[in-house]
Amino acid sequence: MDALVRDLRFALRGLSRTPGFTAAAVVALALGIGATTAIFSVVHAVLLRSLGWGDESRLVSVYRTFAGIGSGKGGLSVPELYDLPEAKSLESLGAFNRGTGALQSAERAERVPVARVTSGFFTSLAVRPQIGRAFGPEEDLKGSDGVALISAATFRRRFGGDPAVIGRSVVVDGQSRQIIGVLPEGFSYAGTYEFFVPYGFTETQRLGDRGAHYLEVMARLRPGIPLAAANEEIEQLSMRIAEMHPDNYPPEMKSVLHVEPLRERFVASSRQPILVLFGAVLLVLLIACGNVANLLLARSAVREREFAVRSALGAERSRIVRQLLTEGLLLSALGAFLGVLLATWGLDVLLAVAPRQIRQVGEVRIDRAVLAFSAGLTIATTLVFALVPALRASRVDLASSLKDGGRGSGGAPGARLRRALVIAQVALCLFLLVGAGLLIRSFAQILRVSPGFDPEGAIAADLIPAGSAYADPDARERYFEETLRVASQLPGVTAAGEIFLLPTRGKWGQTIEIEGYERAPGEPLPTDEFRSVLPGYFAAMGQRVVAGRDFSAADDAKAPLVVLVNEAWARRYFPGALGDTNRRSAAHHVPDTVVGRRIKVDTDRHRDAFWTIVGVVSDAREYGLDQPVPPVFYWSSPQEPQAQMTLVARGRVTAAALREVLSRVDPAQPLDRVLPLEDVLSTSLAARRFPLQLLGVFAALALVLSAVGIYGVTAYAVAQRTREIGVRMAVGASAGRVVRMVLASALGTVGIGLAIGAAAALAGGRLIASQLYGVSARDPLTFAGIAALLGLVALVASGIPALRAARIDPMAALRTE
Amino acid sequence: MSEALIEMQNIEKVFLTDEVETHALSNIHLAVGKNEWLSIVGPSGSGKTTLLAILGLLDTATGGQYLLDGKPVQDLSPSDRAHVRNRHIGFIFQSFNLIGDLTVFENVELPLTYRGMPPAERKKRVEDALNRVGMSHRARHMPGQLSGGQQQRVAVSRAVAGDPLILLADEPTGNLDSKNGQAVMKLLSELHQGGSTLIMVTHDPAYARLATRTVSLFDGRIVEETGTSAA
Repeated sequence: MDALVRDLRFALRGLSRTPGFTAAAVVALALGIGATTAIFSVVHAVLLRSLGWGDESRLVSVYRTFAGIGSGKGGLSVPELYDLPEAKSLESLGAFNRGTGALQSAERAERVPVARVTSGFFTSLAVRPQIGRAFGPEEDLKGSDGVALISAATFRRRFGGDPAVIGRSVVVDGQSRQIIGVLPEGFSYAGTYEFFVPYGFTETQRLGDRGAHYLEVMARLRPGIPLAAANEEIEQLSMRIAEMHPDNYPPEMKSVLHVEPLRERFVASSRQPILVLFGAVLLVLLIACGNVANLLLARSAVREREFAVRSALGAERSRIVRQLLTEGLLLSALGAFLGVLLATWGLDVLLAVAPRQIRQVGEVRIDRAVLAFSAGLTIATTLVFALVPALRASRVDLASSLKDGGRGSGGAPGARLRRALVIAQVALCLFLLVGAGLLIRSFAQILRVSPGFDPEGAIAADLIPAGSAYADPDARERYFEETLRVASQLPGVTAAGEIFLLPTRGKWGQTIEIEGYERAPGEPLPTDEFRSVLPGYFAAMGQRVVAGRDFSAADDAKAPLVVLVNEAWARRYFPGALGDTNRRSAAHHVPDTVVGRRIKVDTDRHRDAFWTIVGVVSDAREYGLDQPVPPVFYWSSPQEPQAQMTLVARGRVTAAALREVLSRVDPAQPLDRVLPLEDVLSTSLAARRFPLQLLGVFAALALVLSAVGIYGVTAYAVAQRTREIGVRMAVGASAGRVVRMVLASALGTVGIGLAIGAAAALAGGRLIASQLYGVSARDPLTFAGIAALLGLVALVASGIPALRAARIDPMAALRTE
Repeated sequence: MSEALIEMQNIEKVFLTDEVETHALSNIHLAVGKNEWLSIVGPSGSGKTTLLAILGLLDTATGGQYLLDGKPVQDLSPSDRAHVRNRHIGFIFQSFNLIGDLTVFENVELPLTYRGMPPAERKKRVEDALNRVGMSHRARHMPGQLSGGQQQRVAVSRAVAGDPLILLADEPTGNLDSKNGQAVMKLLSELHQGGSTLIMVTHDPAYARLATRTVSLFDGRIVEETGTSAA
């Protein structure tokens, strides 16, 4: 203990006497450890931390696939939720849907996050309200569903934390609901919600509505039931259900239910970007460690005589290694302390730009686990950057080091090690920069993709009429038509329309039959994206009608049923009519023979009805700029009304003016999301932009650290060679020759690092291949550009000491010992 | 006749550089008794410092036998050599070799800490050692705040603090002016009179004459020996 205290005291004193070295090392480590800690806190929250709902190994998500039509994981219908209790492997199950609701107060309506859940939701998650009670099974059904649970935050913020809130009523979406419980502090599921309300299933929904698969279902397995066994039972159950209801589950669609760990629901899409970022910060940390190791090597060279003296006085090797490791640990600890501070501050910034998937699992914070990680990281980094210099320092040649005039160990082995470290730094930096460069090029490629509509000069307003006044679809439709009418009359508006499901906002499919389309043997009925629009929408979006006609006011509920399709739809089902093209389509060949054909769609309002295609519109990137355009058909909204629409108004109009005029239609309806169409498009790119921005920051950090490393090694080499350079200049070497000599040595080292880094980047490109768009993981332009950039940085970093070398005074240098 | 503290038989030191053998020391036979003061003299490159390094276990001979206090030490492990240096040998270097980050007190204390000596005993020993060289008033100073002569007195203090069997001094006055040089030699004389065994490498014949015996090295061999062997 006494020795440890003394080691620490000496280490502190030594570091304080070399403030430049200490500051450089601590800042490098703080940046590395801080960035790694911040990203680990995300990794921990999203991928590692317990979900906090009891035994996580028993919590599963239940989802449906239609393998026959290649559909991914989807939700369940209400009758399927009521079929599932037959499965013996499930102890409990519940359903959840995120959403919003209009919270009505005396003064105004406010849109608030509202989750719709079944009573089994809380049972499955083993969550009990801190006050009051949870929902009972009877409250899942219409008529008994006038109840609500509130979050702990809402309890405090809206009700002042008064337990008398139990029994009070709130009006959400026009329905009065009695508050029956307050959820525990910190409870969240796929985001935070102010109110949790029952679905209020009707008898029709519960028994017959097998076509609407919108429930997110989770379950708790019975103790001891393995996931595979549960999966097998659920799959068999779903096949039995399909046999009992062949109309709903045509065999060719291969409808099957599956279970998987519940965590997958939250992390599946974000796991790879997070791990890529984690890998990137570890590279930054390694580069920082390389820098500190280089600094320590240079420092230990200067201190070689000190180690020799200690050794001569009887210090064993292990004692010297311990002393140096103590210094390293102290540096790491200082770096970690600053790093955790940086991480704490940086995390707020990080989460502000993070996409929803990263925030929905739970609170991302610096907690004990993260601090433990940082402590482990500190020890690991110490071992990485301090061990080699410590071992080297403990092996000094005592006799020569103790001689008067004995110089530090700037000898060949030390120089080789320092060069090796710079090579490693440059290689790691190139690897990281190439990754960032490829993602940046991908993003640039995506930004070059035309969305198929004109986002400039248009504003989108979400309309979600709620309340008993809008329980009737026709009432909602009247609201939509009225909002469109007032928006169209707003001064400055040149075009306006409404749509259900704006491009980039999601997917919504419907199975259809197409008249005249011959399906291949075994090919299931197509399921295509559908939208509902009000006239003027395509003009407001800047989409063209390339064949036939647009919707008009005449296409009302009483008129013949009509649809429009997009070009992708026409190309998908009628490519044979290519000879008969429509001249208005500049980009694509669209058969005008599509116009006049009919599709058969089964909806609640129109059972097995035929809809006539009256026009073809240009494609819009429905799933986002980086996704192919799906086949889409458009209903005229009055003929197939939806529960919500988005109004698009083009022209010289502000969001505030639009909000003002829309709110006049019904002041009770909140209008919280009125924003430029450009923002809608931008939001759709958030999931790509987030890792890109972070990777860019890490790459810049790596570049700076590498530049510092190259500079440090070159400057040290020049200092070591001062006498040699003086001799060279004394015998006639020009300043230019000295500069070339120093640069050649430094850039040779960098060149080797670039070659190794390029080889590693070529091999490791597959790690991010799935996140690239329109650019190969081996893109030569990116590789060459990044190598040139690093070469330039290396030239500047080594050029400064090279120029300093050229200004050496030969006489002064020759006097230098 | 004193008891032999050091016995060297046929010691050789060969350096291999670029496949060329350089014989730094050849056929060295040397015995040093307790309380003897031996001077090693010779021109530059004669092998004085190499011999002192082998004597102090800072280097190893490539041949021959070396007994320290009757025990063979040429084949000891690095750890055991460090242990022997710490317990039995005190070094005084030409360039003082004090550690700049440590105070005078801590520099003198350093070899004692490597012994695992309890703090109270260390403190007493360091104070005694500094008193012996007249530097106790500078205990809290850093080496950089001392003159060359003072630094060398601190180095002597460090060498004697552990009460070693033998003191090895490599050109102890080489970096000092004549006044400070004489003061250090006076200190060494006092130590010798107090019972210490000294081996000193020096260029200065006047200082060499202070020793009880002098060996002259030339080209790695002992070519002359004056004075009386105590062993």
